[in-house]
Amino acid sequence: MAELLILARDAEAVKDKHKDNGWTRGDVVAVMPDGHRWGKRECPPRFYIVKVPGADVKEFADYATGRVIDTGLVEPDGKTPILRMVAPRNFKMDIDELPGDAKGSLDRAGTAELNERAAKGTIKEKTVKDDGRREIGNG
Amino acid sequence: MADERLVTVKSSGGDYTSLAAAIAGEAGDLVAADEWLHVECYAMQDTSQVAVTGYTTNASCYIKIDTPLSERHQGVWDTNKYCINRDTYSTNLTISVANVLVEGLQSRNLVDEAFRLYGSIANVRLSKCIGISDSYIAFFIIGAPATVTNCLSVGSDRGFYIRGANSAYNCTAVNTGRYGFYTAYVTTSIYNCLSYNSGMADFAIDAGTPVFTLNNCASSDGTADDFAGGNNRVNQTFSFRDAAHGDYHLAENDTGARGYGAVNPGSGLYLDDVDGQLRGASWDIGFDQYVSSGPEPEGKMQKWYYHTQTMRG
Repeated sequence: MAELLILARDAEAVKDKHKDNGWTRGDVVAVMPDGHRWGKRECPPRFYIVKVPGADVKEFADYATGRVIDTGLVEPDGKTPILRMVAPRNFKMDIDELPGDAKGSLDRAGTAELNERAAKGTIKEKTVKDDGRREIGNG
Repeated sequence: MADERLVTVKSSGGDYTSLAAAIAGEAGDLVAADEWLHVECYAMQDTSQVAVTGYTTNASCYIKIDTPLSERHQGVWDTNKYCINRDTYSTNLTISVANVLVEGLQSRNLVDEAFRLYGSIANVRLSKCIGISDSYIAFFIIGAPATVTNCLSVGSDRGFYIRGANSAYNCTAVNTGRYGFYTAYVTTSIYNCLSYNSGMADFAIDAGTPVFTLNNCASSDGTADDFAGGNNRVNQTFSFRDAAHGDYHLAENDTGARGYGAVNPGSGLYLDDVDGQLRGASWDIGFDQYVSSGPEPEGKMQKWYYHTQTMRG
């Protein structure tokens, strides 16, 4: 059983970055076991809670990680790739594409329940933009 | 003067139940709000990946992430205090905005970095943190200019990998698989740092032509004096309080690090050690300052220092 903490609003977009490089509405911020007692601010207008009965927490936790790119460079050892995070989360839930009753529930109560298939179907990889800086020295 | 916006991270009863949620939930323009964000983390094991990004900050409207003293480690890794504890291929805590102070956190990742600072991270400081990355890097500092003070790396493949024009003061790396302190490409300055029992070298440089300046550092091998700087001590034997149980505070009988540090190398940036004990007139090398009476977790001086500390410490 899993419960997903979904960001309900865009955070301030950093001016010189593509929007999806920042915190955005729909980002999967955290994944907790069923029945988790959420904090006082883990609710609208900041967050939604999406419950996914039967889902494996560890599997869904993979949605709550940053977008990392391979810079094409390697460490001084000549083989280890140099990676760089370009967005705080790689996946977001498409809230506007949720089934009507789930969307309505989020709007009314801030929580909704989806089956595992529906949840996975609405979580999509973000479209981020690499700003092209090389991560050496002042990365 | 900016107002404090205080939020708490607790396993129950707080504003948030993970540091990641606190950072995402509060993200925005702190300058426009004329506020500084204070995130207090209470004792728990946090398993969510944290990315400090999406903020507009300045020197007054900054972000402070810390732990109340009662919820903080006492210089030894302790899962009963606040810690980020993960075992996935993604960095535990990254910071990519300026004006951030992280104090008193523990972060352990079995396979990836415990802490990563990158990008334009002016006025970012890690203080009194413990980092463990069992098979990679505990503290990976790529961006600049940032500062690391009074931090401890235990048992990582590499302790402090600093690849930016940054500084480390009074940090300790023990039992690293390869390097305690390591730099490449750029200028890195290290003061009062201690490295013990590294698999390949306590202090090392790699690619490019980095300028690695060490002052008043100490190593258990012969590397602390291999670079620019002075007053470094090589082939030292260190005595710790209880190394067998992960306690790398200096013991009373230590002769390798006690009293050999430069006094106030940060010009007032910090004056205490990992436990909040004031370092006084004679500074030790490493994250701990030996005091004969032992730690005073709720001592008057420690409380005074804690409550008067600002971004500049």
